[in-house]
Amino acid sequence: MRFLKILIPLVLLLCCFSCRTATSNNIHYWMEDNGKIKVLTSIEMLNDLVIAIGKGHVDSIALIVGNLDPHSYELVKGDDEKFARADLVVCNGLGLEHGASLMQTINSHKNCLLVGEEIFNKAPEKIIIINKTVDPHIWTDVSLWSESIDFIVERLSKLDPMHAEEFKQNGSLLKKDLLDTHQDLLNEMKAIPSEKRYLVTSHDAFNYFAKAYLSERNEGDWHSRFSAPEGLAPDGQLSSSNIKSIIEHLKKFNIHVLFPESNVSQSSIKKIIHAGNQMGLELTIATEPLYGDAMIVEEGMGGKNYINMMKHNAETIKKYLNL
Amino acid sequence: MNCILEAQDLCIHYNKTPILWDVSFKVPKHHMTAIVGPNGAGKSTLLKASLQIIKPFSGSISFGRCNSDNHIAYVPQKESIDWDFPVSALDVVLMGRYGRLKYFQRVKAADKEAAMQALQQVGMASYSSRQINQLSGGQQQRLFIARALVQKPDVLLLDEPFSGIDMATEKLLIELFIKLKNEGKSIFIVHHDLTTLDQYFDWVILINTRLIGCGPVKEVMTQENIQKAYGNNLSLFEEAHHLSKKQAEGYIS
Amino acid sequence: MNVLEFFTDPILRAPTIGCLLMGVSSSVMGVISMLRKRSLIGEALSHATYPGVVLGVSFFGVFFPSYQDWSFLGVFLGATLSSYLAIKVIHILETKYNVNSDASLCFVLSTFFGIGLLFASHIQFSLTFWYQKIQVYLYGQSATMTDIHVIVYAFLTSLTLLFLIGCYNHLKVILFNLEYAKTIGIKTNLIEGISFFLFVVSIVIGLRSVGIVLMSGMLIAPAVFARQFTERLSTLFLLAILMSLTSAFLGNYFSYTLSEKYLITMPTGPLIVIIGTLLAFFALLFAPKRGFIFRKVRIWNFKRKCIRENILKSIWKSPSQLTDFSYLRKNIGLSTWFLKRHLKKLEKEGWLRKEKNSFALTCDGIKKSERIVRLHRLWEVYLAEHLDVGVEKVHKNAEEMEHIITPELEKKLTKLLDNPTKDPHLQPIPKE
Repeated sequence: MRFLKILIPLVLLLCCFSCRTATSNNIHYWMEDNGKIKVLTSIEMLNDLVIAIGKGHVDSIALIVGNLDPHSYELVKGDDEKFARADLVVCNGLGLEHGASLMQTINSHKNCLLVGEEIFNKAPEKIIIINKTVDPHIWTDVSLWSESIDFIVERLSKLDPMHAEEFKQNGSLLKKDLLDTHQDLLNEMKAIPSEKRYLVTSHDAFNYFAKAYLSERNEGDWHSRFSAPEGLAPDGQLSSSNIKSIIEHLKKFNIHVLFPESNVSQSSIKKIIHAGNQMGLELTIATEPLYGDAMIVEEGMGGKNYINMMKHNAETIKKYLNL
Repeated sequence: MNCILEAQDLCIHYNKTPILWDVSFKVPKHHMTAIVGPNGAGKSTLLKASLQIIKPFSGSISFGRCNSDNHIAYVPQKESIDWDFPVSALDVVLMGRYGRLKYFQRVKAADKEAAMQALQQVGMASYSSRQINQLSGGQQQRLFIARALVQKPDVLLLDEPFSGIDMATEKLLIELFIKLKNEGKSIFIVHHDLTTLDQYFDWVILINTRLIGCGPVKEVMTQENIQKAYGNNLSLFEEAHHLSKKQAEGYIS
Repeated sequence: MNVLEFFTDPILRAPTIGCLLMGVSSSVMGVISMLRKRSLIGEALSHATYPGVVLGVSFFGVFFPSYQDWSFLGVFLGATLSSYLAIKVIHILETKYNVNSDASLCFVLSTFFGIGLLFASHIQFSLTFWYQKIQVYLYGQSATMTDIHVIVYAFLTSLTLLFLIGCYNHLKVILFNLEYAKTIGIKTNLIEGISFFLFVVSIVIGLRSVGIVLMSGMLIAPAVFARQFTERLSTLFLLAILMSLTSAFLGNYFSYTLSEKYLITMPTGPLIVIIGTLLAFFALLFAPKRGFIFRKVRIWNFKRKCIRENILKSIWKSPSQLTDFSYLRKNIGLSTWFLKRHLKKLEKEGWLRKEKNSFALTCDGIKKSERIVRLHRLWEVYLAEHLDVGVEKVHKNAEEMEHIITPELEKKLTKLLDNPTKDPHLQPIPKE
């Protein structure tokens, strides 16, 4: 009897946590037949582009929402139905979505676009390779991200030739917006003096960002502009030598600020700050996080969320590095 | 009070099955008492209940004046022990003194001396540093008795001390027990061999779930009583009770 | 990076010292559970902490989201409660439902862990940020331990050591013979209760460094290692603690240096458990008395000794002075090559001398053979006269015993049998 008195509240507590949010309504709407092309994207950053290009003729949802980690995401109940319903699946590729069940379903879908792979095929020199592994975080370089627009336009046009012109126009507009944003970011980052322009976050998400916006022109080795304790996928397995090498890096380039990310555990950064301060470095953590693998999505701002995210990142970086 | 062990309406259950039922007796001091009965009669249970290791369902059993502390020494069945445990013979005998040890207190030289003396009494002095897994059955039994002796008890309770040991050891032990009885101690032994009963013991408790008899050996061990204890007239009771238990658990419809 | 820096460097000292402390408490409690013959319980309880860990972190996530640095308190509390619940379930299964001990432990292990996974998969969607904190406890993350962890662990480990030292003797009796302990006035319930609490504490400490999945290795490996080397209880505890400290330190050391050298990340927790397991395995094979390899070597040596003694005996018994090879080959069931090797060795040791293709015993050889034959025949007399074994059966047993009887035993036999001169087959017994 006493046993039950403890067990029942525990079970009720559990039920509190398992309440899903209101996105299920969106999914029902997306599943309905309304003559529009149904697109399923893996990450929100892609979803944003598809919404901006497709506008009224396309219904698009993202699979990996909120703060979920795209590197380790595995399919859950309901995802199979989404894949079955989707006319087009748009993913990043380059090893981002490497959860086994997700990868298998993507590869076996009838109409799948891997934008990263397409960009790699077109211009392999633009893709960064770290320690023989391809870095998939291409969306952190806006100009590079804009190259995926053409591939999306092409696929949507194939599915709906009637509105091909419209897609092309939307695509050009979007590309222009993105390239403008790219220029804005360049200007903003340039405003930070070169000796302060070093970025340290939780995991290796910002290589492309560093190469595009933090490095000096003609600077051979831009790698020192960005560093992170955890590798390309933030799975939490790190060793003390990773921490040590970051601290050496901080010392070498006189860096004082570390940036947390919205969806990655902050324990490695906290450890670096704790140890570094004991060694005499004055380290602080930025109170606002950067958005690396995740993005804030505002209802009705489809097409603008990505730009807002990149701008927010740039502003945060500028604010803390210029202090 | 002249009796050392008294039981009153003692009932002990195990999983709703009665092991001992309505047992009442009085045993006087300075006797060597055998507790006999067939297998499963509740002999070990009676011993453990008297030591407060098992709680009775109802009724009571207690030792006269000395109800606690180390004046009552227990020698359990040696089969219930893991003999691969990493201790030496001396370590085991010293355990008899641990009841008096406080926390953080170390064993004193006087304790070690007393332990060696006890080993001497059972003829195991030369085995003091031997690991217990190197001892034979008879040596193990003697070791346990030494452990009991080191407690300087007034009452000794032994559970089947003569099982699985050789004749020589048995003789040695019986002589030791008789010597202790003559020194004024009371000894209770769960015994399985009816033939040596009147040779070794002067008092007997004959039980088979119920008390069949408690008194001097010759008085209790009559043909009638032995038949009652070891015969089959209790088996019906067992069978019926077994059925009842299964019914209560829902195994039979 | 020299060894001392592992204890002083601000990056390395918290993981190193934290793991060392964890090693001490887990090895002590591991030895105790091994002596209770319930080693599997460490595995069951460490997996059973998972739902508690998940709920503990979620609790913080829902009610105190801004205090994420203190979420480890939630983990501690959750893990402890979960363990106690698990042990209660195990007890009920074993006593009320008569489930076999191993079965109930495995059942609780998998069920609780499964429930934990269920909770975690819900948390993954509703409290994603906190979900990462939980994942850290599956495999451990010692690299991010800080000095606060060290202080808490130091306190808990010193409690464990105080318990061990203070209750050492009482614990010894309780582990050896619980019923007896109750009769001599030891507070068994109190000590068992404290012991169990500290067991759960040692598991909870270990979760951060080696994680839920690997924790049981830290409990069992030191106990197995130590048991191979000693027969004394105090040495057992000491060796287990030392081994645990060694594997904890080496795990940290190699994790750091190998990661530096080969630029791959070697997480500390798994390395500690691997090193601990290798050490335990090494002990199982190579411990001087109980090690498998040494026992095999001893068995082999004994077999060799028997064969050689049988060869000498055979030569002694043969009708002629010189025994040729073919005769031996017939009597001793060995292949030519092995027989030749043994004969060579016997010659080298001075028991034989070789003449062309025949062999004769030296003086020493004669003495040795006579002794073996004497022991054989004495034993036959003992079996026949004192144990009433039939005359036709005594030979086989004596063939084994002749190699085993020590001089002390020989003396006792001679005395007991009153120095006989003939064996049951009426063959003469050589004199001493």
